[in-house]
Amino acid sequence: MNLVINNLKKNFEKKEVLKDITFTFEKGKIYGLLGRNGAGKTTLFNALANEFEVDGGEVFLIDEQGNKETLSSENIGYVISTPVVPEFLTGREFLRFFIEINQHKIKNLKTIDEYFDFLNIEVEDRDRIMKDYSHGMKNKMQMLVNIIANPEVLLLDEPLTSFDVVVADEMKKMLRKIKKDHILIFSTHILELATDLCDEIVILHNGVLESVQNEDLNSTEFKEKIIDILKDENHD
Amino acid sequence: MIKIFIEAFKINSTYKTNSFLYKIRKLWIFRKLIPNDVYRLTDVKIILNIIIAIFSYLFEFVKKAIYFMFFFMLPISMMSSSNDSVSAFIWIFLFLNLFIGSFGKQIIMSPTLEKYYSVILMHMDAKKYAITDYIHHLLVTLISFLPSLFLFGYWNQVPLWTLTFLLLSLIGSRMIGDAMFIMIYDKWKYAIANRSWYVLTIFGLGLIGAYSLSYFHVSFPPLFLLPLSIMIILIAIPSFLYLLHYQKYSFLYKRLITRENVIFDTDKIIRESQLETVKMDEHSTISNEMIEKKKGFEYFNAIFFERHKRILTKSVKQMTGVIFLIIIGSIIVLFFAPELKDNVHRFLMTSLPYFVFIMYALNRGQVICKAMFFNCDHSMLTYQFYRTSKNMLENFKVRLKMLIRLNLLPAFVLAIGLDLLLWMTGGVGNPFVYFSMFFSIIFMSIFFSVHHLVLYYLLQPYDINMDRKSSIYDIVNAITYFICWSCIEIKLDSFYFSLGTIALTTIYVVVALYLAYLEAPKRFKLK
Repeated sequence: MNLVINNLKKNFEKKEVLKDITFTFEKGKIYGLLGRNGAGKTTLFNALANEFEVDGGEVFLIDEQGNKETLSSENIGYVISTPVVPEFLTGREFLRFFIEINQHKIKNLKTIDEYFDFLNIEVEDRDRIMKDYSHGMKNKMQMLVNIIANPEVLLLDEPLTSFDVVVADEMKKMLRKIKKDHILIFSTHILELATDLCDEIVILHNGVLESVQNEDLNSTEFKEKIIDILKDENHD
Repeated sequence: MIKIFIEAFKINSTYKTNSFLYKIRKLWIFRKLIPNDVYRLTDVKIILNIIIAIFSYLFEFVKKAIYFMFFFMLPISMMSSSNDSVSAFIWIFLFLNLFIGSFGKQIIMSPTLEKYYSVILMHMDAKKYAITDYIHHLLVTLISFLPSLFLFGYWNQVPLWTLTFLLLSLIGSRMIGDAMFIMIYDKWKYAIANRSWYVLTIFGLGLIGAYSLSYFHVSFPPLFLLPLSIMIILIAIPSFLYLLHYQKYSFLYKRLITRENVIFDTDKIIRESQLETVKMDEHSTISNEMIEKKKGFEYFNAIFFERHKRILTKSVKQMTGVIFLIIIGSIIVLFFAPELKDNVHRFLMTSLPYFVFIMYALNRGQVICKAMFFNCDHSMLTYQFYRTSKNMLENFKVRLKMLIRLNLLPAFVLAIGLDLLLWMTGGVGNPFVYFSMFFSIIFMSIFFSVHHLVLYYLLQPYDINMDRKSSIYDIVNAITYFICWSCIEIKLDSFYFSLGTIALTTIYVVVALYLAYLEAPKRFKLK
């Protein structure tokens, strides 16, 4: 299964944020989407998640047999950078509601506690109202419901920045564990995070998406190469 | 002080002009006409600043004139003969303006965007700003009250010297009120004017005082005004000096003028209640078996209503209780004063148009939709599954049922009560009149429940930062208010009016639901 983007365009009034995005993301890999602040990473994610109408281009999923499928809420999960959860519910109530609504598309349904265990959510936190959850806990809940729904494509907008080092490490392990069944695209502006977690780095720069080929993502040369691209004087 | 005033004026008029341009650009007819970089055109903005400032000052005069029309002229013409209109005018002014106006709301401590921008963001000197802004406020009050007070007072034959004393007392009482609020806060760190129980008590007492004394034709002793005014002025002088010499405005503003208080000022009471409710339920999970048995959106919304009992169900129950008491009270009055029966009967037979406005005012739809957005949809709309057409319509259906059911409680009591009063005051030969009156109240309640929810789903007026962004939503609400108010003017027998109401409501509900079904999945989203 691949996610194919062809000539995707999005303008905000006169500003061309996504100029001509063409790219293919493959299943089983974690992609690190890098870009400077304001480069359009969230716009790209919003475009993929059908948050608004785009000004041109197409996005679809294509399987091994060449069958095309359009992207919809059924096959895409989107974890936004500011975690928002319905604060009037407890974690357990939220999961119960989510599972009841999405039962038809959840494969290998587990119990609510098994899901909590999967993301190491403590027993005493499960029946607390989410209003009192920390930023990181809310982020975990948001991540959890997206994982439960088991979409083909999972978009993660700056997901690890709110976690402490221990939880961030847990989340990285979890993402590596689930990557074989998903197309994971992970946006960040922190280079080290991208090189540490991702299998491939793609750069969004001047409204265009480009892959940076290198065998060793953690080498100094590779990091310098990325910074050079991002420092390009055309950046606005 | 003049410098501070000019600086604050510049900041505030710039923000007003920018907000005006932003809002007007949201309307599609202006979007094409006004370029995106209009904010850079300094000359245009200076002219707009001046125009907006002039209009906002002129609007103060208009507001006062409307206020006097509705709160003085209208009730006085309904209650008093020309002999006691002077007393009625003075009573109403004393209770509404001196009592409620000065002790029901604060000026210096009120969280406003102007204070937030000038003192918190721009770091202007808090004390100088507070005093300058306060003097400006007093001057605007004095000048804007002057023409309306003298015009409408003169119209009611209130002597000029009395009006002068009333005006001076008004300014004096404002100083006393604000000094009192600051003293209380200084001593107990308690912003009493932000508490709904206090505000409601002051408003309740003030309204009862203003209109009951006028209604019972209690004459105002003319010699009483002079000592009252002197006393107010004597207390106002040290109060004003206290405000001038108070040193902790900076501390006060840091505590009270927070972004949250300012941006959501209008929704503060809702949020406070919501937070308290959530706090109350924190220690226990929902143990209600009825809720546990529900599934999906029924379960989700049942918890929402349960955790927001205080602002949703409790207030409806209180409202129902008040209606019940009014009806019981009316029955008792009719029992002891049977001579009123004819008047009440006549009123009931022609009063249904008034109930359009009353049912509009009683309906909790708008508040509930607001609570739904702030405490639920604001977060849930970020989830893809929540926004699918199927789920959105399922959620809409569940909510509509809950909203209608909730609003039907007071409507049902009111409808039964009206029929009961009609029967007690002599009744009518045609039993259809009872049915039509009952069902028109019930239909009006359903109408407003549907109206508010459909409007919310079609025009979702808030953006992701929970600011109100839709001008169309405000315009439609204003039109609804105006239409409901205008219905009072309809002179039609209740029977025919109710038939019309039932027919129109049915058509409206069908059309609105069809529109919601077609359009809500496309339109109900975060902006």
